[in-house]
Amino acid sequence: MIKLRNFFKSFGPKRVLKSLDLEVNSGEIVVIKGKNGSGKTTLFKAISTLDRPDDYDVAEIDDFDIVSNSEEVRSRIGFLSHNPPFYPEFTGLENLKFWLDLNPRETDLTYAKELLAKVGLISFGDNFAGYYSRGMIQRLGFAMSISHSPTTLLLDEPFTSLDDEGSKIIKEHLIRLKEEGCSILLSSHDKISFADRTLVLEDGALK
Amino acid sequence: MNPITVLLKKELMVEFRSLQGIIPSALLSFMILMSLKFSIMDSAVIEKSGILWVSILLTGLGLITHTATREMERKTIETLRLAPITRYELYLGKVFGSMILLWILSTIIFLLFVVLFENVFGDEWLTAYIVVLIGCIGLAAVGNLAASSMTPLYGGWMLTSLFSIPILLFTVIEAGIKCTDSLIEGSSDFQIALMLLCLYNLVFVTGGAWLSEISE
Repeated sequence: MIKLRNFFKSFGPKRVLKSLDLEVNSGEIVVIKGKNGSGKTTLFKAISTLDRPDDYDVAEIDDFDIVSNSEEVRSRIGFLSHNPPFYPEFTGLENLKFWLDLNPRETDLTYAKELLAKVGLISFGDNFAGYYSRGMIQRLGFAMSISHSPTTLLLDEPFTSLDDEGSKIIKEHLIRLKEEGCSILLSSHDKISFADRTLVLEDGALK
Repeated sequence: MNPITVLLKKELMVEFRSLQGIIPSALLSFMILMSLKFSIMDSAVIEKSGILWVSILLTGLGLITHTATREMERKTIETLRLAPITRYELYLGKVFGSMILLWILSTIIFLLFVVLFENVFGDEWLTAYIVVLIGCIGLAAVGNLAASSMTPLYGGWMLTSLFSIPILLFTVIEAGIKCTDSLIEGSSDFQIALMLLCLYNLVFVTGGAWLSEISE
């Protein structure tokens, strides 16, 4: 569950997020739309603990404060950036296994392979990620974001560069995760038919 | 698996599969040693170990800066920062990864130095080599601390060295030079200098881990 109240974030003199309020309940999918530069990525990075907010009254993931309990928060969120980072010297499977090994949940190679199969990458699992197409990287990034069974998913433009099959796979996963009680916040420029709510980020606030 | 071990393994795998850091650093150290070999005629300098340590300092910091910049440019630093691990585990994972890479680089530099400068250590070459490996711990600790704070800035690759060199020069490098020079001269200062070197390493590793944790 995500809860933000009176949330502020600036870059230099520019206030990107101004007194922003947001609540995403368990088992809910909320979509954020907004023009380029409206602050969607800034919001995702601040919630994910990658950036620190300037000020807030409430900023919690599952009732854990995102600043004072950042380690606990990080174990509960899955984050997919619009340009997922990866190690080109690692295979797809090794990238996924590396991420899983950094998480406290005990996993093995079979689990990592199952996850790759779920996003349609199993036949490319032993190929170096440096040779992956943009869409394949997006699928790998999505597999990493859901791999540690997070309670909250933050997906910054998750459908970017995906083909129809990839979009369908991710959509099916999101619907399943929502049914399992995961709180999902995603940004997109397209209409998301399966979303519960759509909000627009404008002038630093959600409308 | 312990996160520090996971990070250490990652650091080594990325480097061994790309060889983008070790090989250029080794070549640069060869060029530095060759330049000094042909430009310094003063036997008082040649018969000491300062040249060895300066080569390790410059190319070692280059190697650390390279690995940190690579992480920043690929944004894989975000993956690491999103992992539910403490900041000191992240720091120590990087320090130990860099330390092993520095050990490999220092081994190459040490061999080049022994060959080019006619083994000034004599029978004590193995002890001198171990001292060099110990010195790499402090170099990795300061280098990574500087790299983690400087690489996000413009010109961070240069700032890392500018920040690290003054700190390392009057601590780890000075103690390292005193150690290896006392081996060459056969003086009794060796033990004190070695203790000082170990103390600096301890301060830098623990201090770096502490600073990483509180900077969160």
